[in-house]
Amino acid sequence: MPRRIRAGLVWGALLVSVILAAGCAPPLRADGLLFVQDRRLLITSPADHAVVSTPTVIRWRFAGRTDTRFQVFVDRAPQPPGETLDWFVRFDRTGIYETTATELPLNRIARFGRDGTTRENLHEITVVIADTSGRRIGETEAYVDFYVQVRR
Amino acid sequence: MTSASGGSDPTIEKLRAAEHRVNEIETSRQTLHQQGLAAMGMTGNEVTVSLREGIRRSGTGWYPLVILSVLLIVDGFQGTAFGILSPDISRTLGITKAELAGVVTLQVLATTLLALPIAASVQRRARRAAVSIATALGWSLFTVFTGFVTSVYALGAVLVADGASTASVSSIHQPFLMDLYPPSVRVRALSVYNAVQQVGRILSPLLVGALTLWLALTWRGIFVVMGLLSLAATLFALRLRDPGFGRWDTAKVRSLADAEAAPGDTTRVAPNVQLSFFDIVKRLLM
Repeated sequence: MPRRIRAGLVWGALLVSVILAAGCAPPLRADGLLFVQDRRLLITSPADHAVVSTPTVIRWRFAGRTDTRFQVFVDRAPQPPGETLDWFVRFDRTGIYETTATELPLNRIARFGRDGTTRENLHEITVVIADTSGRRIGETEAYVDFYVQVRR
Repeated sequence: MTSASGGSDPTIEKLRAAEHRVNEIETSRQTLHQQGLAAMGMTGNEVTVSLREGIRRSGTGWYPLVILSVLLIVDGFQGTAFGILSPDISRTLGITKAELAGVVTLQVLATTLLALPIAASVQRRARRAAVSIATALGWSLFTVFTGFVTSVYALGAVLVADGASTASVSSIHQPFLMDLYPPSVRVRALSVYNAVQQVGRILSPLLVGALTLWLALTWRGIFVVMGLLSLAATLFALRLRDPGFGRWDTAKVRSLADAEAAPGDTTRVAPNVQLSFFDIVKRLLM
């Protein structure tokens, strides 16, 4: 086999394998993927990069179905779309909350850093929507970063 | 006293011999000085033509410099967008920070390790233009694909493939420019190329910001748009052609030496030595 054809086959096989690796299980698909921001879900409090002290209340609004459940994640990524909270191992569910209300009181948040300054205590809240069985719906999510005031 | 003729006066003869030796020493000193300057790279004309004039005289034109610079900018799209949007990707796909760090490490490894094979692939045959276009096509498609991934494995595969295609930028573009432009404008052409890279580092985050704010795109939409922009830039690169190796250097010296050689004088014509890729690497490392 001529060298050029052999090289072409190798590169072709490499390209196809990469596309297959990217596209298989779960598939490379366009349905259900969010290409434009979904602004139906919006965290209203605290404001982005606000400084708050605990206890605090996280509030959001959602312009969608009323039977929607909300899953709130503090300083961690949510599960992929279509998965329930069982996706996380049972002993690693710290910072995960589920509610049907549009607010969540937070009594305490883990302190970061050795000296616990406000600057070090940047936290992130992510809210996703789920159906009545707790399965995450689509890729819609809202998040906010905020600082927690440290009491010395 | 010296005679008017001065031809046989031993004192004058000695003085002339001494003067001759002084001149020889002065000539040697100046030669050594010039060689020293040459060794330090401090030679060349003090007055040079402008970049525009130099590029015009080279006959190569601006097209290769502009298009390689544009490819350099669009090559940075994927990396910049991923750096900015990784928290969003993490939230959408449910990927932890450790997993994100892992796929980025794989991408960097692919870019680093594949730079050498890509350089080796163009070492025997001057096909840097074709490889540059093919890899640009590759990273453009993989940037589009990034907008469609739904798992950490898919993301890893796409990033590694993008990293592999990006390796051509570091291994091919600059040697390609070196052979495209003559020494009088070469360094300035490389300066333009590197300056454009800095411009790209500013433009890419701005583009991500604009797509997020004005078009309200998610990270998926941003990767698709950036990939399509990169694809469009790649289409403009289709006219790139490789000028061959050492067009302005070894090839020029060889042609001059061949022209000066007397007919039948084979001693003036240097043999065309072809070092293998690993010979070159070995010599560089020794």
